[in-house]
Amino acid sequence: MTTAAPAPVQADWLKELLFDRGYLARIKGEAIKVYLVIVQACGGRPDRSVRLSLAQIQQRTRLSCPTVIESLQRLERLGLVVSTTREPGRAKTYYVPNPPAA
Amino acid sequence: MDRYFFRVEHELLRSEAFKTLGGSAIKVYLVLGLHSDFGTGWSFPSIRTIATRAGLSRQTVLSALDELAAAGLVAIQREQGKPNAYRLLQPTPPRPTPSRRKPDRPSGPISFEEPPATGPDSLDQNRSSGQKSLELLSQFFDASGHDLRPKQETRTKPKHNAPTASVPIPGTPFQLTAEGRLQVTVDLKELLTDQGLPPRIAQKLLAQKDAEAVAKVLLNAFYLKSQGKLQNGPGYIRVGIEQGYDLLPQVADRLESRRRELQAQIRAQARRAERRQAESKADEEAAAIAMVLERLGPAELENLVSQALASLPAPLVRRNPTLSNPFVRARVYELAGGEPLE
Repeated sequence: MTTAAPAPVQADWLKELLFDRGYLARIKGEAIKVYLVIVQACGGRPDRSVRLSLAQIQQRTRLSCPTVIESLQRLERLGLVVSTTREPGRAKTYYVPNPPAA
Repeated sequence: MDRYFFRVEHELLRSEAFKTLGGSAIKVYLVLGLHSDFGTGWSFPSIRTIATRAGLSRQTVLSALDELAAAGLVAIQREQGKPNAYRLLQPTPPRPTPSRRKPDRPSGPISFEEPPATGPDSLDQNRSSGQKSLELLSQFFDASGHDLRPKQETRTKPKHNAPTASVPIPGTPFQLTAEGRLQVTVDLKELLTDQGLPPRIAQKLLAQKDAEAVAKVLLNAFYLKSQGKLQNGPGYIRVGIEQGYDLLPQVADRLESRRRELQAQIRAQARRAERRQAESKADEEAAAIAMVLERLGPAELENLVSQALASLPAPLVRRNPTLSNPFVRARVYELAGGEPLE
């Protein structure tokens, strides 16, 4: 009797990224909250970008503004998030790449 | 195993607990989800394993476990001589968010009847001076002058298509349209005779010239009178109509500023109407979608979401494995038309 293979869930790439590639251990606790919020806003898929304001991230993570900014900087340094727009006064656009294995 | 990790994304993120939990607790929760047994839902990782996976110290892991247990997200079973067992619990469903309807705006169209507070100065400044023939006209200089309605439908009304929006010119019986044309709302013959012109000449002048030309000369006369510079009102009006005087620069400037205000009001009104229309359409669509979603079961809904996401076109970068630099990938994604999600 053959059973159909379970359809790959959209979190597979995230699981691989966080655990198999060890990014979870390299991300600070606050940063993982920010990252999960951005990933969720991208629909749980990599290679997409999303426009999010600091206030929106703050509201969803209940972190302070400096903490969110610092977390975003850490995520950018790790290559997990790329901010593609830098218009002052406007919400940034964050691109979530699927970074290659180190 | 996947079940729990999948649930982290969809239910923990939406729950209130996600906001209150610390980052370390989230990391521990993810690790526990990774280690959960597919069949039973229990996981048995050691503290050291959790600490290594999450990049935390042992003490931080213990604190995070206590935090998760206190939040009701993890059940911990501790027995002497056995490894600790953890089971992820269903996060509290999110509280229904109140509908964020914007305060109702006035539904009716903006009335242009009331002159704006920032309107140009009234042409009335020296009402007391003037000849006897202009006394009757002084009523038009009153603040309520624009409330005077035409006593009858005059033949002097412009024959062309009358614009729908016009604004009264304070202190005069005329109205200004958004196109900059003058609209006459009173009987011009009566107006001219009130200025001291004989009815026969007034009739003759009105037959020769159109209403707008007459209105221009009358506006000039009103302005000159308000400045105390009009010595012979009837004579000025008669010659002005015959010669086709244009508006004085001072009067033209005030009319132009008034016209710009009117145009800005019309544009704002149109924008508001468009926005209202778009909002009502979006509300209708949202209500229809909500109605459909309510009838769907959770499993069916999940399946539909997965299908919809899978049907989206793959970005260009996914077909190009050579792009390893995330910055280049982001740029290529945008150039390929990948609009950011809102």
